[in-house]
Amino acid sequence: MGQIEELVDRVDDVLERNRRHEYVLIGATLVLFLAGIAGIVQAILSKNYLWSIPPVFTTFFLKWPIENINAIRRGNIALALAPLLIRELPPPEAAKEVQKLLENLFKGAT
Amino acid sequence: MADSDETKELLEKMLQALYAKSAAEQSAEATGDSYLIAADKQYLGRITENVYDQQSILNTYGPFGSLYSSTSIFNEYSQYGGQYGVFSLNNPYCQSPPQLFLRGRFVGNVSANQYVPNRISNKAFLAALKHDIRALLRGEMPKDGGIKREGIYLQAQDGQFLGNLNPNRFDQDSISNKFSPYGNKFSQTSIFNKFSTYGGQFSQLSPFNRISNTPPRILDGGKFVAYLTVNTMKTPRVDPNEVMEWAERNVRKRFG
Repeated sequence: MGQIEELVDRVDDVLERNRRHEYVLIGATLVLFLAGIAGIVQAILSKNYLWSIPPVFTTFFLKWPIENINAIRRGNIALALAPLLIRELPPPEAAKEVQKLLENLFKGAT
Repeated sequence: MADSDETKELLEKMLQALYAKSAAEQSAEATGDSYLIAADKQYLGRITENVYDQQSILNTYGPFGSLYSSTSIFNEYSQYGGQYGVFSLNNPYCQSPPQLFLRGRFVGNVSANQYVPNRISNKAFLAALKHDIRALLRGEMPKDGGIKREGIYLQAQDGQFLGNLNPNRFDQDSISNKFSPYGNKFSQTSIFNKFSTYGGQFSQLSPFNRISNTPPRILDGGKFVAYLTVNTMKTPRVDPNEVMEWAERNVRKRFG
């Protein structure tokens, strides 16, 4: 069981790193979103509607950080669940459940 | 993205450790049983029709059938299933491949290495596991192409399946599909690969060898229809350069 427990101990570190990455992505999302809003406000104030074109692109680029944030959150749920499964279930059952988690998490998700 | 990879890596390692523990708990008390065992005496799973058996080699959530388990022959990164695995059936240079036991009796070494004594082809073994486990349990080991097939298809004289003649370009087994292992000109099992055993001008098993006496055969549900060859001495024959047209004329009705 030693090796499994070592791995379980690593979960907190990975969760911490995931949290930091998530903050960076939320920051990037905010910047993109605010840039888009600024473009629209500028278009309205200056009545120059060419300013409304950049927000189209910034909105489009929001897709990636949002997808990444979702993937990280799904991963965090799995990481939080795995130690619980390992502690509560016998190894064959725990393996089955962890494999299902993995498959659900990474099948076409990223 | 990197963090996501780290999450996946950690979960995979946990899974491997869990499977290793399960495998250690369940190792062979296997007298009279049908099973696969590695040269290092690691039990590699029971050959059984019951895919829910925790010890079954076909249980994708078991320690011997999961893609993530280090004791699974289906894990391409494990030493028992990887192309470079020391005890792997998929390693063409492996000197100590897994041994197959049926009802407690040694049957052969399952290996991709052609020079291993008592060899059972890994492809034949895996195909039998997948398609006809009953025959495997009876000890009837199909050749590479010896699986019962429906429809009209090509088979080399060494038993290798060379694709069916379905004119549908999207059929994964058809020679008409340029992206399938049988229609792609870079595939080793394609008659269109000029440098392969089954497509070369000088290979005895190729339809393009003018003097070959052993060209591929066209079979219909296992029954001989004609030779596929440019050798005019063989009859009945279909010219490989016109095989697509022949398929259009004769096979379309069959595949619909």
